[in-house]
Amino acid sequence: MSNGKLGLLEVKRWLVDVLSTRTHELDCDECLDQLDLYVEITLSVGSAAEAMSSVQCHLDHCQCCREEYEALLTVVRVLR
Amino acid sequence: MERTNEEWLQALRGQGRAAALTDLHSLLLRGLRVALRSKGRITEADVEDFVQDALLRILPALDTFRGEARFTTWAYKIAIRVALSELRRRRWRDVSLDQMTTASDSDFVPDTVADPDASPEQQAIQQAVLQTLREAIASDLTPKQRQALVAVRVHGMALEEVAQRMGTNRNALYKLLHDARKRLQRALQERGLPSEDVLSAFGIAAQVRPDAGSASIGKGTQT
Repeated sequence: MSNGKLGLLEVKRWLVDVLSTRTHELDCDECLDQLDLYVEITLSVGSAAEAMSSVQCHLDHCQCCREEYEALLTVVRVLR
Repeated sequence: MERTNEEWLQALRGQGRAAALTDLHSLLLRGLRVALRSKGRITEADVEDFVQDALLRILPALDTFRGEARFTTWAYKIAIRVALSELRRRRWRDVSLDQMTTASDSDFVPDTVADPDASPEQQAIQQAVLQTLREAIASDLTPKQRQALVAVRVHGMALEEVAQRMGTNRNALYKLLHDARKRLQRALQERGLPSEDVLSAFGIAAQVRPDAGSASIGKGTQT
């Protein structure tokens, strides 16, 4: 960002964010409710994005939940 | 220390509670040390505090554990939510939302973007998209939506910290921003700018399917 304006890459990310909006999306607690299963499916078959697309959608739009997902994925992968 | 889900629940509810609590405490300590090792200066006392707070949430919530995942994964996710929420609170504690989101801040959408790969036709669509978004932000979003959008999208502030300053919670703020995204999406459609044309004009290869899954450019997209 320069001069208080978004740069090209930021605009692109924002557009994807806007255009991938669904009519109904999980909120953060609904996402957290399924996050443990989502992580275990991810570690078991490589991705849970198709099996649990509503969780994937929320993670695409929420930085906080994505940070928690990445931390949980790391912990389970390292300690299992 | 290996237990099945049922053994964890029985132990935490029954006669083996003390031993199970000790094991769960150790497990969460190890888990949070791994989870937080890239988060800067975190002391052992911090981690111990996070574990204690997590246990206070986990133990009353045992009845809500459905057994779809492993008990330990379920417990880790609660501990991680507790710890990362506290770290976000610390990181943003001296930041005022009003100072951050001044009136001029809402004018964060550029008139044009320097895109050397765009053809003249693509540049024309890009300008129409940016103009539509600027107008929609000004006329279709509520003042709260604008303020939240600027704090989260422009300044990268954590959702729950914005929520706390706006007197709401993380879930409600997510919904507020979700509604804002829907309004911006609708504004583009009503201006005759369908998703595929917008993506093509900006050279975005990702497939965006609003109601059948979504895509992102690299990492870091956020509401």
